[in-house]
Amino acid sequence: MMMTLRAKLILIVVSVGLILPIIVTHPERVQSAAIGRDIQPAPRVAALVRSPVQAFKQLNDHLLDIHRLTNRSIIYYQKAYYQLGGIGTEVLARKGEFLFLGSNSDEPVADPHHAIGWACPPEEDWPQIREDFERSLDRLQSLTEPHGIRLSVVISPSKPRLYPEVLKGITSDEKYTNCMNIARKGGPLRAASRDHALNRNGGFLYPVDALEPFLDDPAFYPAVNFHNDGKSVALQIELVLEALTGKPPVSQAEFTLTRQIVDVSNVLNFELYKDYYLATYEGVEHIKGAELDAYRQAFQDFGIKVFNENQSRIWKSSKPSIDGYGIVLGNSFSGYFSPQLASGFADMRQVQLNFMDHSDLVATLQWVLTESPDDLIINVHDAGFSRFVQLADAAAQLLEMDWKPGDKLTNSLRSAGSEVADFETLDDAQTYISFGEDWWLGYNDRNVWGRGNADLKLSLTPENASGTLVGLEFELVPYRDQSNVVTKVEIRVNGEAVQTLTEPSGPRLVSVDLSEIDGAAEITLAVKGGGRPSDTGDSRDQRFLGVNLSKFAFIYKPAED
Amino acid sequence: MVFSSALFLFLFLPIFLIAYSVIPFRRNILYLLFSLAFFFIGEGWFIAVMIASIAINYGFALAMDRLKALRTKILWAGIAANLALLFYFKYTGFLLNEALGLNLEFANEIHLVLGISFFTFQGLSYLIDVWRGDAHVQKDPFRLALYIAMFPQLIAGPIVRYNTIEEQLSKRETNLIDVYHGLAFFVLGLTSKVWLADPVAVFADQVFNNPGEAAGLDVAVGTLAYSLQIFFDFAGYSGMAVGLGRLTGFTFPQNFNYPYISQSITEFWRRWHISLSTWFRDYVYIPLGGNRAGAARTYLNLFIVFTVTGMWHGAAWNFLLWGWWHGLALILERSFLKGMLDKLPGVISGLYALLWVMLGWVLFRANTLADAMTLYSSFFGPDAMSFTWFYKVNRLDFLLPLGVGLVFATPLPRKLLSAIMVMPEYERSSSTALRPGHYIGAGVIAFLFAFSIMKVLTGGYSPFIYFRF
Repeated sequence: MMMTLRAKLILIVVSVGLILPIIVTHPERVQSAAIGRDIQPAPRVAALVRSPVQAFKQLNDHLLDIHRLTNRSIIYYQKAYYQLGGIGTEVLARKGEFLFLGSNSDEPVADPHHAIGWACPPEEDWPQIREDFERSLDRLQSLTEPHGIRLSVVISPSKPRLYPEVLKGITSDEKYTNCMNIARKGGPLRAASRDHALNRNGGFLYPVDALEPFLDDPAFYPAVNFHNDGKSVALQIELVLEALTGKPPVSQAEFTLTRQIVDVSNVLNFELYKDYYLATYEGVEHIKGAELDAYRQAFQDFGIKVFNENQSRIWKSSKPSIDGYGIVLGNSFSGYFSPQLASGFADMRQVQLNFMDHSDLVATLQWVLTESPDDLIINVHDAGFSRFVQLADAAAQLLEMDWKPGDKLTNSLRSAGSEVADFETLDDAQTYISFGEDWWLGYNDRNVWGRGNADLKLSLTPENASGTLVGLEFELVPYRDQSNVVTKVEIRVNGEAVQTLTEPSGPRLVSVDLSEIDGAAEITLAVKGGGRPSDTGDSRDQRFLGVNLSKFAFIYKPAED
Repeated sequence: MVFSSALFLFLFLPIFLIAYSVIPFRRNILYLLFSLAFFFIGEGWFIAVMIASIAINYGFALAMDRLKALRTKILWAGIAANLALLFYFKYTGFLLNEALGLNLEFANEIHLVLGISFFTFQGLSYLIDVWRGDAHVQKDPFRLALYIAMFPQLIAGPIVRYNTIEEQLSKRETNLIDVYHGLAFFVLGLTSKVWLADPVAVFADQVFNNPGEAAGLDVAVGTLAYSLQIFFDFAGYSGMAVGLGRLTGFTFPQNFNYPYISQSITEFWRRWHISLSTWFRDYVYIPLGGNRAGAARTYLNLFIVFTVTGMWHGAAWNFLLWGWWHGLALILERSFLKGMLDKLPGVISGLYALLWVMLGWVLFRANTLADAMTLYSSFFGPDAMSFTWFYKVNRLDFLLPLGVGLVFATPLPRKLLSAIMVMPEYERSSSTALRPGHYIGAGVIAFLFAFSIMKVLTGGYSPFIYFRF
């Protein structure tokens, strides 16, 4: 077996070139290569023998993480692809300059454009949305009014709602049609905005009509941005302050056309710069140092687990329209909204609610009531409407408990309302259930996941398991990725298996007959298997997922006439 | 472990190549150890199955050599032992639960060992070649083990017949030109896998995993995407295997020869998975009598060959029907169609062959037979001219690789590139002199290697289709 010297040398050079980037590595570079997540650790030697296939998969991911060129490759690849007119591997839709973020989470979803769908719900959902809105506004007002807090809800229209025509051909026909339909007919939020118009007593603002005349200005709502910014936010601030005070704002925005990094850069994985209007206000001071530290500490003292440091901020204004104290609660859109609204308040604080679970939302409202501000402003975008509803659910729990500032509330008590079942009757026939953190790894409205290899139990009390209750209905999908991972879900009633599911494609509606059950019952979803989306290479999500439950309903016997 | 994984590219392969280059003795043992490690990484303790296969073939061949009077009986026993292993791991579930409807849980839980169809066929080829006298019995168990377990072609082919590399197991050579051709094969294979197969796979999977939602044009585009995916995926893997073999002095056979330019299904099978089709020709079709016993017997032989071809690909009705679909074409062509096709312009006969193959891929790729029927009804139904997922088709990251793939599925790019660089050749060249075309080629290969590694590092979807067979 001969090998010439030149052949050997070439092979050795190529091999060293391949292996070097994983040997010569550096902790900081490794961290940046992992892009916002924990680096996959190398497997233990024992694991290589005990469960070699999984351990070597882990080693593969570890090597990808520590490879010196991973980060650069991603940047160059994405940048080159973007310049060619593509959008790379992330979940986005693009037409020319317009970028639409389909999902801003790493959670696996069946529909990558679901965020566009949330901004433009189909017409048959409008009555439900309107009902949810009315109930939520009522709950939040009932909580704040007794404390003398003026409540304003501002829902910022997002790009799918403002530029629906751009979506043609880059999202599904259904979503495009829904967005065009809602633009043409107004939709439930626009109608609610008229009925609860923001005024000196607070209320609701969905400023789609006010924004529409300016949409031709490419720098008004930057086409590449996910969030509104600059002029589009300034106009909303002007509307809010004018409504709350009855006169134009004292401090007016000054605009400078500036080249700035766009907010989807982290999704594109490279820094993209575009021109848009930077708004500045005279007399606004962003407070840092001891006061900010004390504020954050006080906030954390309430036991809030998820705390976004970058968007928990304080401002003071020397030229306020409202000589009072305002608090802004909201999702990432409030991160752009709050700095400009700060011009209108003598003292203003912001708390970002993203990734908070039910108990954190309850704690945040406890903090708000304890602070007793003059104004509470809630700001989310239209696709983030569910966050507003979830905040109102938290308000309902405090109302139910008749909580007063100073009362102690442990974390488990905060979760109590949703730990097992938080019933909300939507119509006569069905009752929906929301799940607490003990059951589920994340609460994401329509995309709730349970862990793999775990039993999920629901205890039905004699009250709700007897009488007219005749069954349960689940809409669920056992986890499956592109590999051969197959998850099995067994549905048991009082320990007895009634159904087993392994079918992976699409949600499956499963009915469980409870007509023979009298008294208490325990329903179990026994999940065998599961998988991590990160193993597919398509996602950075490393959670071990078992089953996705998109709907859970009780079926009652129809009332007899 | 796939060749496009970080573990293979940045750890396994370089360590193997350095060790193979630096250690001048016992290279076969070294190669065997790395091959066993390769299998262990992907399949863990199921390595025992492969070792059993090696032991079976070594033992039966040795017995044939020593007990000459019983050699035919021993051959049949060896074939039976090989097929028993294959049958247990691959077909038990199908037979008991699908065909007989027994619904036994244990049968569903039998693990399909990676590459079992490939290494079983290699083992069979060895036994039959020894029995026929086309090859000598291998008395060195490590050499035979290396033939069966050799990692480049272990789990997705090409199926290397024993007599092809019998000599190379004991005597082979790697010079600079071999390294050039080896790296070129490997890199071109990797490039076609990660830059052409993987990007189009995303839409193909969308269609085939959601057949009820796909409209006619989705099915058409999805099937076209899958046709390119399976070609660049499988041909890419074969190319990488050939390249890795060449780097270590082995010359593996060509497995693909631009199958989509075929003008008949008969020609398609001379260009697609050549190592499998020639295996069936030499070890099944010809022993059955081939075309020497009249038309009816020829058709029956074709039917048998394509029944086993379908079943070789998987234990499911889809694969069986896919095999029959191709067998039917061959029978029709042999009886009258080939004569008609020969008279038609090449474009028309080429379109016929392509359409036949693509319709067959629907059966092949669909998750169930019912899914395949749903897809056919969408394709031929009233929604034939509509899209559900136009927005997914209408993306550069799909259209660009699809367009490039369509061009590279023809010999045109190779012809054009041959004018400026030395393209990799399957036959080993006797010349060891470097020409300017080698230097240009080295630059192109280095660029494509870096370009492909960048794609590997960006992560993404990258399964190898033929691993499941």
